[in-house]
Amino acid sequence: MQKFGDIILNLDRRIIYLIVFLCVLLPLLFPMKIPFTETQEVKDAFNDIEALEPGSVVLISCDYGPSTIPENYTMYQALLHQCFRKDIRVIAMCLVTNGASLGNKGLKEAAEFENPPGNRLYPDLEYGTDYAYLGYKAGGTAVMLGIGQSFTSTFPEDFESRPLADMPLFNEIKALGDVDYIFDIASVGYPEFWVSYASERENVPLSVNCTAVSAAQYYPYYQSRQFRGLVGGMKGTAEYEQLVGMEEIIGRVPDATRGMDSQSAVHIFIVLAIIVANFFYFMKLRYDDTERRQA
Amino acid sequence: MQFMKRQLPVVIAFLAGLLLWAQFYIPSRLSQQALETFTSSWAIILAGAALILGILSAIQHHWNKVRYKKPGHAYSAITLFCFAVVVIVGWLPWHYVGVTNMGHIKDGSVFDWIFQNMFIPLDATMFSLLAFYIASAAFRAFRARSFEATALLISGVIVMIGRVPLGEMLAFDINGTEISFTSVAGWILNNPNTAAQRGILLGVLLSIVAISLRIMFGIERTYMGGGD
Amino acid sequence: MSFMTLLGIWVAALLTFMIFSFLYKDNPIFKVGEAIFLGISLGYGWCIYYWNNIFPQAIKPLFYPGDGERNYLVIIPIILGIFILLRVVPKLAWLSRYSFALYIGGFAGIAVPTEIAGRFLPQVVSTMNPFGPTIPDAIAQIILLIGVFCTIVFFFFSLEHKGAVGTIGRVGVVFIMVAFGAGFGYTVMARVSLLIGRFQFLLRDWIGGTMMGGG
Repeated sequence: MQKFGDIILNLDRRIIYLIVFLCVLLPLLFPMKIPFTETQEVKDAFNDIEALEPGSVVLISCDYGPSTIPENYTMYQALLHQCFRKDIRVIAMCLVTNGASLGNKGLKEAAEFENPPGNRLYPDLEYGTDYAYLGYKAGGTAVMLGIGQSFTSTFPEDFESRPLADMPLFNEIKALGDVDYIFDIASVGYPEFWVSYASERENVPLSVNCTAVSAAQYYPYYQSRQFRGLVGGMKGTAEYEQLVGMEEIIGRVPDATRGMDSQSAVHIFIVLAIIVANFFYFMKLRYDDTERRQA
Repeated sequence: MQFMKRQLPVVIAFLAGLLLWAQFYIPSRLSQQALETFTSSWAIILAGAALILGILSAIQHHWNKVRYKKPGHAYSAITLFCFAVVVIVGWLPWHYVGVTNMGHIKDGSVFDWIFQNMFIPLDATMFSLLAFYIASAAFRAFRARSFEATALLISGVIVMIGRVPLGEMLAFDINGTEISFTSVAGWILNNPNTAAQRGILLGVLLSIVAISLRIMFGIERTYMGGGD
Repeated sequence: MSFMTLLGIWVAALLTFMIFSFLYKDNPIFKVGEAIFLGISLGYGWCIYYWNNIFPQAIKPLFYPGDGERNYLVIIPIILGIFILLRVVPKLAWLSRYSFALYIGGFAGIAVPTEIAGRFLPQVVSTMNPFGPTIPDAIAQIILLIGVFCTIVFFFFSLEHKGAVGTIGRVGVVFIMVAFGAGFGYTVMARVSLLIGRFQFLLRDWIGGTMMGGG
């Protein structure tokens, strides 16, 4: 038993990597489709967007990069489909250098989505009138304050160098205060600054989708209702996809939902690994203690 | 000259801070215009310049490695080559010679192809390695050595199980009420977690105010860098 | 599927495996992938900063105003921006202090009222909510009040953590450990999500899209 414990405690890390690899791969190949329900934090974000009237304007800040596509990009798609389905106009922007092109790609993908191929879901959407992607600006909080004063001063052109002043959307929406809702999709620490530099200053409600790394630290903002909703991590995104009905919209199981089985498998493995490691650790401590007493 | 190099920047920091602080309380048109000019134009240009400085410093570092053939200079050469390729396809004014899919960052350009097929997989895969490391680290290092570590461990395990679909299936009936890992995880996140995070947050916010005041009054001068 | 799309997926898959090779051990293939990533990242940043920041904010208003008026005011931040770039020249690096002083000093001034009004006060107010209306709400509010207070006392190092202060600090530690445990649990989810994303690409786009005719 002692020898077995030593083997377990000194297990080559590559065996652990192999088990993690299998825990991720096998559920993707053989989905179990474990059902799940939505948490209140996610429902609050979804319901707020659902309650907006057609023609309302939502500002989506894509503050993430390629490294968090599974958590953030999938949420971006779900949110865009929800907005377009309800004729809500979207202004998207980016505060993170690495994600500048992603915001553009995601917006085009949703606005020009075809299901089945050849049949556009939202044929009446027009760039510059119903949606626009402003691109990236350096400065973080400077940009938030800047759009609080004027969109066209802060973003004279959009991501593809088209003047904002020529877009009908910005004849009506001059500054952040004219927007009906802010949704921050973030992998870095910007949600907290959206609270103080944008939402509270301009009195515009704010919801957040964040990576799971930062989700736990944002609960105080959710409790104080400074975040109207909090969609945390891949699970939160999967819940949002379920609420939006992404499977019917895109004709396949959406990515975050599909990843939940693998997530379950890996989490159970890690929990079991921790329990087993602690068991043998305490067995070893007891054994060493007994040996010391005998000596 | 000492005044120009050391004291004048501190005076500028103080005056800029004071004016923009006062702006918060003064809703006049001039005040709004001053804020708009500073935030939507000047600050963005300065932030962009600072980020370009970062890129130039990195290029300078790798150029020196290649020039003086320091260890790893071959990899630095690859870095510089890739940098040059991306800048050439994404920045140079190719439209002057009639090439339309280069010299910009739009959808469908060569730059966009590099982003989609090289940058995204590299960035995403770099971070995905962490999944393996966290599993290995949890197995090797996560021990309930003390009461505090045990509290951390139990909370972590409950949230790990509770925040996956399987957590909803693992439920127990206590006095007619169904309690699942998901509901317990939710309670932990909304109650003790919120309390502790808020305590930390309040401390952080006071620190932000304190450091801002230190910067404005010239006590904190690290942003000026070293030298005379 | 077009040739460039097919090529792109294969290049992406190759780069993915180059980075994954690090899991076995550090090797030159991984280092090459890392160097490519760094180079592309720097080049990407350069192009994005230019097209989305420098050109529309600084160059176009001054040199290519089009139908609008030329904005001479941007000369000031352009000069200050050049001062920042002069940091690479040791003899002129001191000029960058003006730019940083303006930027950092300015935002320090903005931060004080914004953070107090925008975050600090609302957070304190939310901690002081009345108990109720239901018993579970009252219990939650009591836990919140006790937790916030004990956590703040734990981080208050001007008083020695002995006696009553020490006990309150210990209660704070328990709250902090529970919070960190929750954070760890969530962090595991985050890391695994990223790996799931890469596997979805390899299975759906690479194998499914290029080898099994799914494209």
